[in-house]
This record gives sequence, C-alpha cells and structure tokens, in this order.
Amino acid sequence: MSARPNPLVRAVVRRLAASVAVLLGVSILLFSATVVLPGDPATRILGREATPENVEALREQMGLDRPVPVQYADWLGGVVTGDLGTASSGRPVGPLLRERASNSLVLAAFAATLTVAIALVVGVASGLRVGRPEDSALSVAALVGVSIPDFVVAGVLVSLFAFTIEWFPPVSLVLAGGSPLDRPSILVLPAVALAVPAGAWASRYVRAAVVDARTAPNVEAARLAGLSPQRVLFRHLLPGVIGPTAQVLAAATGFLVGGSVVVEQIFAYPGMGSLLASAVAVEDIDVILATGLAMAVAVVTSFLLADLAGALANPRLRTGL
Amino acid sequence: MNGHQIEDAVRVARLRVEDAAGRPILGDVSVAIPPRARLGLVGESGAGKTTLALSLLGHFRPGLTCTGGAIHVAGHDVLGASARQLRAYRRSVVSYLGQDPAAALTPNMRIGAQVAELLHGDGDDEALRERFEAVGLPGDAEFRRRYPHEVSGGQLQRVAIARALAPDPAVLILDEPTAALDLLTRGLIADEIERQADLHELTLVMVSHDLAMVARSADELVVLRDGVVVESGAVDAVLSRPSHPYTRELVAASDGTASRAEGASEGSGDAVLSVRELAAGYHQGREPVPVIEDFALDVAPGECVALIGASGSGKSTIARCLLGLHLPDRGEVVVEGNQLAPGVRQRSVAERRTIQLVPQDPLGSLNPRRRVGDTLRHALRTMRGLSRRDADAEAAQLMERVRLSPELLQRFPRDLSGGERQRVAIARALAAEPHVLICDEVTSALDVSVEASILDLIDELRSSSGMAVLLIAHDLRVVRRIADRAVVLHDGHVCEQGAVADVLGTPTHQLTQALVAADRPVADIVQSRVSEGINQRTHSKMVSPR
Repeated sequence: MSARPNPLVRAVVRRLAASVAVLLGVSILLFSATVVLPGDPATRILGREATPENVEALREQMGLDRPVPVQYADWLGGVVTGDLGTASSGRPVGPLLRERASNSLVLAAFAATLTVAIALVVGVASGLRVGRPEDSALSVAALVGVSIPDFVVAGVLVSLFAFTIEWFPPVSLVLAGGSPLDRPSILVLPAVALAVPAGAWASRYVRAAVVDARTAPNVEAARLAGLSPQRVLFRHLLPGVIGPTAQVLAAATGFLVGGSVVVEQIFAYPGMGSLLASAVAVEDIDVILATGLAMAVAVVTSFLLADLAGALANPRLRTGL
Repeated sequence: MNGHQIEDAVRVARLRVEDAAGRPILGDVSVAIPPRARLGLVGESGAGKTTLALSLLGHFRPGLTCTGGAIHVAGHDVLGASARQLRAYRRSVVSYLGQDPAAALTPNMRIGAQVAELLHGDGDDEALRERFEAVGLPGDAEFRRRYPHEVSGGQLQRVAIARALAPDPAVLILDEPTAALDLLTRGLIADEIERQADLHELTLVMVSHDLAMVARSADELVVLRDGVVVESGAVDAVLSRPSHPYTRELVAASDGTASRAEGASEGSGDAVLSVRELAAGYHQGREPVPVIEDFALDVAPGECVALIGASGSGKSTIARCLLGLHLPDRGEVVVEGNQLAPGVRQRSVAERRTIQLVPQDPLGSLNPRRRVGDTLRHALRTMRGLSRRDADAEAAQLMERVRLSPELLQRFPRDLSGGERQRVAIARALAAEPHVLICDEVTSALDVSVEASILDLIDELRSSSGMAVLLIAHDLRVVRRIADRAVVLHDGHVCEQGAVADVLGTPTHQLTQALVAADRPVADIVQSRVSEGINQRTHSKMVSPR
C-alpha cells in the first residue's frame, strides 16, 4: 500500500488532466464562435464611414488578416502567459476580469451555499415523505422553481423585497475600488434569484437518491435496531446520498454561471456575467474570450470539487484500498 | 433476560396483514413461543414468512397494513406501541438479522462504530473488544476501525451477528441470514448463531424456505402457506408425521436421498466438450491472482457433470471461460472437435450456438421490457437466422418443450412465477440448439417444490436431445438428482472427481466430506435429534453442550 500512490491522489491527477483537456476544447469552441460571429471588429471600431483601406490597415494591425489557427494559437499563447488581450476601452483585460471575477466569486459563493441548502433541505424532506401530501407539495414547488426563468424570479423578488417591504436594495451597485462585502445586503436578492432555479432542479436528484436510500437494507436495519430517527438519517442514510448528489450539485453551479449573465445585468452587479453581457453587445472579442474561458474554468473546477467530495464520501476510495 | 418464565416469549394472536390492494398477506396467524425456544418458520416465497417476522418488530413494509390481531413479545404490546415505545422495544428486546446481513451494514461507517452504537451503557473499548471476540472476530482497535469493504464476506456476517447481539436482546429473529452463502460458510455461521443463542438463552425465530436448515436446530415448527398456518407443532412430530399435504410435499421435496433415475445414460462416444489445461485469474492492481489452474474436463454427449465447490473455488470462472466471457490465461476449449476462440467476440455465431448458459437469476437475465415471445424470437433469429414466421412457430414449440403454455409468450417476465421464468431462460438457451448447456445454480433462487420440476426438465431435455449438461451447484441435493459425474473444486484445483454415487457416497477429500456432512437430509436430522435428545432444551434450564 505504501509503494502504490493513493488511488485518491491518482484519481485527482487524472481528473486534473481531463479538466485541462476540457478547457482546451472549450477554448477552441469559444474562439470559433467569435470568428463566425457576424460583424467585423475593425469596421465597428472605425465606424461605417471608414474607407476599406483604413479597415484593412486596422485588421492587419489587429492581426485579423492572419489564418484563424494562427490567431487562435497566438491568443492561447497569451492566455497561458497571462496576457488576456486588450478591451475596446484600451484597458488590458486581465485586471478588469480579475476585479469582476472576484465580485462574481463572492456572489457565487453566496448563491452556491444557498443552492446546496435548498437542494438538500427540499430534497431530503420530500424524499423522506415520498408519496405523502408534503412530498407532492414540495415536488410541485420544485417544478415551479425550475420552470420559472431566473429573470422573472429576480423581478418578483425586487418588487416584493425591495419595493413593497424595503428590506434589500433593488440594485446591487458596488463602488469603484470597493468590495461587495462592504454592503452584504446587496448580495441577498441576486443570490436568491440564482439559487432558486438551481436549487429546485438539484433537489429533484437529491430526492431520488434519498428515496432509494431510505429502503436500502442498511437503513431498514438501522431503523429495525431501534436507532433514533436523527441517527438513522445522519449516520446511515445521508452519507450514502452525498456521493451521487455531489455531481448534481456541481452541475447546479453550472446553472449559476449561466444564470449570472442575466441576473447580474438585472441587478447591475459588476460581475463576470454583466461583463460578458456588455462585451457581447459591443463585440469586445478579447473580453468575450477571457470571460467565457473564466466561466468554463469555474464550471470545470466545481465538477472537480464534486468528484473529490464524491470520492471522500466513499470509504473504498478514502482509505486507499 | 426477562423474568417471564411462565408467559410465552412471543405470542401472536390472529394477526391479519393486507397489501395495498386489500389482498390478505397474513390471515389470522397465531403463534406462541415459550422462552428460550427456537421456532422454525417455513414456507415458500410469498407465503408471508418475512411479513410475519418483521411484524414481530412492529414493522410492516411499505404497502402493507395490519388490519387486526395482537403481538406480545416478552410482555411488550408491539402493535399498540407508540413510535417512541417501539424504538425502545427494538433497541432492547428484539433483534433482527435479515436476508443479506452484510448489506445491512452501512458502507460509510466503521464496523466498530456500527456495533458500538447498539450497545447499552457506555460502549467502552473493552466491552467492544469482547463483543467482537465473542463472535470469533479479532477484537483489536485496528480491526474495529475498518470499513465494511475492508473485511471478508464471512467476517461481515459475523459483524452483523455481533451487531444483532449488541443490545442483549431476549428474542432474535433470523430471516434466512445464510441463504446466500455456500454450504460450508452457511454451516459455520449457523453454528455461531446457535452458540450465541445457547450462551445468551435467546428465544429464536428462524425463517427459512429450506426445511433441512430449520430442522437442524428448531424445536417448534410453523408451516406457512399463502399467509395461513397449515401446520405447527414440535419439529420431530411435524417432520416424522406431517399431517397437511403441503407439509408432506415439502418434506418429500427436501429429502435429498431421492437419487436420479436408474439407467442414466452413461454418456457415449467422444467427448462433446473437452477442456484442456485451462488457467484463468484476475488482476488486483498489478498482482495476478490465479483462480483456476490446470483445469481439464471431458463431457460426453448426454452426460451431466456437476461442478461442486464452496464460493470462490472457481466454478463460475470456469463457466465464464467456456462461454468466452472471461479470457483464460491459457488452455483450450474444444466443442465437437472444434477449438473455440478464447473470447466470445472472436467466436462465430455457429460457435456461440454450441455452448449456452442458463443463468442463476432468471429475473435478472430476462429483459424486463421484452415479452417472453420477443425474447425467444430474438434468440431464434440471431442464433439460427430464422425468418419471422419460422421463429414464431419455433417459439411456440420451445414453450412446449419446457412445459409452458404458449399463451405465456405474451407475458412480461415480471408476470411469471420464479419457476416459469427459469423455464423461459432454459427455452432461450435451447433456442440455439446447443451441444453443451451450462446451468449455473439454476435452482438456488427457486422454492424447493419448484426445484424438482426444473431439474427433471433439464434431465429430460438432456436425455431426449443428447445435449451435454455442465451443472454448477453448491446444493448436493441438486447434484444427486440429475448429475452422472461430480467434479469437486477447491481453490481452483480439482480435488476429487468420479461418479456421483462414489464421490458423495464415500468422499475421500476433506472438503467433499465437509460438504457431504453439511448436507444431511431431513430424515437424518430428525433421526439424530431423537438420539441426541435435543428437544430437552425447552424443558430444562441447562443447555446441553453439543
């Protein structure tokens, strides 16, 4: 056992390698998408009245006349060395993205915690009462939560909690140079708007796992041994649910990343989502590429963490046998 | 444990349980067990045994409701108890050891903690060590810190026993805890349970479909059929003079002495199947683990050869090598003079047709979304290339050959009984017109009374078609009934082989002797019980050491 590396370590290394491959694939797709996007950055910068000669000169200056693979290799080389290119405003993309990403990370941490809480509480509560009225009610609520688009959830939340009872601010502005944590109350409504659909979706899977686990022989045996309901739940039932649902919770954070594009716009929150949305509107290619890749990194990382959590919940992997 | 000397330890009065559709699962069942007695609860699957056993714990599986009756165990009113009282009762009075005790352990919890959580008082280190050592397990802290996957299957069974005994119950309910084990391990575990029952003066309720299993150690017998008690009384009386026809049928069916019909085809001519120098194993990490070494076998047309051995002895690996599902390290498989490719993917359809398998669990091996007819037609069309119309006609004929009504072709597997499913699985194998039929524990999932008819069918098909049969079994009753020759495997080696009558009649190898000893027929057991005077236990306080 000492000679062989821990299978957990091996699994993580394998996953890391796979993650890099996935990111490489995503980067190719992203880059292709910006190439086939209608419109030409040089024309847009110079305006409609620019002479074809001027446009051509700018294209040459921006490197847009080179073959696409060369442009891609050039961009990827920059990304690897830390140069994410230049925004249309002339600012380098790196610092801009870093500031927005850290804001998004704060919001995502809030939203992800809330998502997991919703998924677990709703999923476990309805799974334990499968077939009873409470289960039906929670199932309907979860379906409603999944079906309502996040911008509608956001709108309802704002009208209720910002205008009717003025608990939280309707917009989540962050002062330049400040941190969203200076005023945490601005995070509440966007986090809830993000977490409700994602949590409702993930709760369906948690429910299914709990339904399976509650009739498992070990859980029935624990109940027949007269153990308290709490002990049966927390020691015998839930540990077996964590592994399979960790993956789903990771997928739910994928929901969060997608949802952040819309929700950050609605609340005027200066995160990656709103950065991407505004960059797409003005075809700011370097910003689109960098933000898209950063979002992919976020999703891939959450899956990696989920795999790790799933492995840690499995004693066969944890003990290294 | 409890001072109820006069009162019965368990008293069930007119218990009625219905399923969701209102059909009776148990109808007016009454059972009484004196303290420290051992009750055997026998019946076929679906007779209501497990429902009755679980009701003693106040538990009814989802969909079942208790509609009447009363249960008292050691003075506790089980059906009238509140949820809290019921938990306290389960925690201290009664323990349950279910059908797969290993599965009843939580994979995410250390085995020590799983026993400790059920001990009363402060489960200190010393108490826990004693509990482990009492069931023949290492008691040291290192062992107790292991997870269930880190101990062997036999050890897991013992952990489950330690867990069941941890609350010092007065009543222990055993719901076929050894049914999934091979004969040898089964014997060891049964002995362990009996030793503990003697030691702690437990009242035992033993549920089983295997009469011989129960006859060995029970005092009282209750025979259930369709949720009704058809016979009850002292074991010796019931077994030696069964009054109900169903009990007589059960006793006759589990009587292993009924040997196969005389004049069995001796197997003539050249071997239809011959296996040479077969060796196979698997890899654990980079370490090769050999499972079988230098295995050789010849089977003549129409001959039935039984492969016998404890689990892990390599029986199934041999079958998988023959079928091409497991790649052997070396060796050859020759059918009718043609050497087959080692892997099934390299074998032509014609080659695949020559060897067919009837698997252990027909429910698992029949596609649940396909009607019986579709399953058979699929086999006929892929294996024999029949046209749709020919396949239809042939499927009906196959059903007749396995003594099933062609009407069942329209059914789904879940709508068939266990015996019917196994017949369909046999028909599917026959669809390929194989020269060699491998039967892997084909009756172990079936009730005893169905078992005989399936074995007779295989025997009949074999003699009518000249097909060779390789029978994999751990139940010697099955071997005696239809096999001509027996090959006994031990750790991947053949340790004994020859005619069934010789091998099982006068076993020479230690393992065969142990297997034969573990497989005594009911009549034998009754005989020895009488001479040993086991029945004295309920009447005397002292337990005679056996």
